[in-house]
Amino acid sequence: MTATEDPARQSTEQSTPAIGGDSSGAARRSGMAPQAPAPRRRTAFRTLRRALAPPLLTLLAMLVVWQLAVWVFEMPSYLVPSPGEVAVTIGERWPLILDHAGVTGLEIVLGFGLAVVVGVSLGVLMVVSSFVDKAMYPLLVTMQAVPKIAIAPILVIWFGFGPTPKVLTAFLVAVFPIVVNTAMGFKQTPVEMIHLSRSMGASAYKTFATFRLPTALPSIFTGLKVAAALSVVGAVSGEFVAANEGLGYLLLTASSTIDSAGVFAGVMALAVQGMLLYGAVELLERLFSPMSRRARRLEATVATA
Amino acid sequence: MNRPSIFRGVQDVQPVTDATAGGRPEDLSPDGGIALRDVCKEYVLADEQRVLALGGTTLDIAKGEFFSVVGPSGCGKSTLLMMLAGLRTPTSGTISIDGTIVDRPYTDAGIVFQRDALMEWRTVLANVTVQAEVRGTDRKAASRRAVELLRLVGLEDFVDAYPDELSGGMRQRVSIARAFVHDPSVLLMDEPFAAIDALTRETLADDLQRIWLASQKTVFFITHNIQEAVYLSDRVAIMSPRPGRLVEIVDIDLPRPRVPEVMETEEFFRLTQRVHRWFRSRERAFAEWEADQEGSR
Ligand SMILES: Nc1ncnc2c1ncn2[C@@H]1O[C@H](COP(=O)(O)OP(=O)(O)OP(=O)(O)O)[C@@H](O)[C@H]1O
Ligand SMILES: [Mg+2]
Repeated sequence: MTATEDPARQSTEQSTPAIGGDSSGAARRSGMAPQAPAPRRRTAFRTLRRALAPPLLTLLAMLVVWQLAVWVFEMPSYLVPSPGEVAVTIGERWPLILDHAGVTGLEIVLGFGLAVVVGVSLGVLMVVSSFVDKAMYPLLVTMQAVPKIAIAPILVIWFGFGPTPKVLTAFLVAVFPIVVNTAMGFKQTPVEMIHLSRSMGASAYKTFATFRLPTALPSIFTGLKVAAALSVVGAVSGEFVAANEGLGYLLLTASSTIDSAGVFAGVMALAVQGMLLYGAVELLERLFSPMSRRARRLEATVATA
Repeated sequence: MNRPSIFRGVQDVQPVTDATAGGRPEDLSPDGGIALRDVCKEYVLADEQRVLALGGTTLDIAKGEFFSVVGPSGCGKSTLLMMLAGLRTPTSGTISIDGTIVDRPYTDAGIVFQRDALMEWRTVLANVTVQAEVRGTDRKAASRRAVELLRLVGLEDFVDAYPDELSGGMRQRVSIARAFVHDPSVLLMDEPFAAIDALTRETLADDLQRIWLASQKTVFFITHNIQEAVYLSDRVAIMSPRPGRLVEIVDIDLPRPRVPEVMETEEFFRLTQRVHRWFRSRERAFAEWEADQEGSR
């Protein structure tokens, strides 16, 4: 064991106390020889399994409790459908669900995309210019308190029944966490780093790219992840107000015919969309955030230990 | 809210620089050292209140000299260092290094702050070679030199480690290596060992002495630790409380290289006492000096 490995392993052990269900930790402590390192693919798979197993087990437990509750309390299926019924509904109607999911998905992606572009630019501007900061900050705080979804009806009046008001609602709810987290991220660069950079004769751009952006990225990605989840809420709320297609529309029609299984199927489809978007953001973070590259190395160290 | 902007540094007072205030530029730092002529620094606070951080300071530091400054908290030591680095502008007076007036960030310097300011997302080696990246100099050469420096400070096994895998003392060693890697002629250190325990401090001081002896750079070193100042320096300057002014400069002519045993000698004790005297009865000592100054005017 080299000295470099040691602190890394310790810190990761602390951060994942419940997952390490095998006895390797105990074996290490009792001085047993470590096993030969596994092939790389298997190691990666094991890391993934360790990360996914606990949430999947929880989900399974919830489904079991749900199914049991439906049986034990003999709930009528128009009130609470069992997981089985929901699965059957999804199986029967998946072409319809997919159609509407496509509409909603596009609204989410457009709204979120717009929020990313506008939010990050505005966040950067607020840090670059103290005037923009002073002009925007109080407004942003006030706007945070306004329930953006309440604006959806007026957007329908302005932009009609098409996808535009949904995209805008998604944009409105998603843009705030992005602006705030971007601005916050850039302000986290220690002043000493800026001093050092200037003493190296760095241009403003070089300082930005080398010191500012890498310190800001983790915070920016936090904002993006919050925004990803919110943009789904935004798009569906927009559809609730007025729509003739989309998952929100599907939910409303199912609800009006007391088709609970249909409602649940729609909710599932929305959840999947939200998770896909979140996953995409997380993938980007893994690719581009220098800190997460660092975190991945930690995982590898633990997995091979 | 008064936060630093993304591209600019901390806002400064417009300087009332008068290049001829303390002699013509050609008289300044002729031997390649540092020269300060009547340097004052006044900060203007948000409420228009003015704080005189540094009183008129005139000083020459020879090329290759190890010069330390001790003084009470808030007396303007960091302010002085920041002006030497060209990161703040004097309100009046001139600073020159190696014959040129410092009126912009001085790039031929290595800086070590109290906080190590390491980039957590980079390995130890990449934290040191960032100098070459930003300056656009040869990266391969920088990387070789960085490895050599990291070996000198005892971090040869941690070249590929990340900062959060290091102890505080080890982190500060990385920032020392970073300050040396581009082979600057001036080294500016602002309480580099302040956050480090007493025992580690002594080994770090030895590390610093070793690489300084091998390079013979001009060092401007701020510390609160008198023993450390005497142990490392050619001269130790004592500053008065705010507005800071130099009240005494003590020559330290202990032989080099200095080894920890030197701290047990009578001469070392005498020199530290000489510096310490100022702080033992701080108010009285500085007040007497103040009165002296008035009298001699
Ligand atoms: N950016 C600033 N704006 C306004 N005032 C400042 C600023 N920086 C320092 N000062 C003031 O200048 C004085 C000297 O500060 P400086 O940081 O130079 O002291 P110091 O000698 O380094 O103190 P310490 O030993 O505590 O680090 C202090 O009274 C401080 O209030
Ligand atoms: Mg200071």
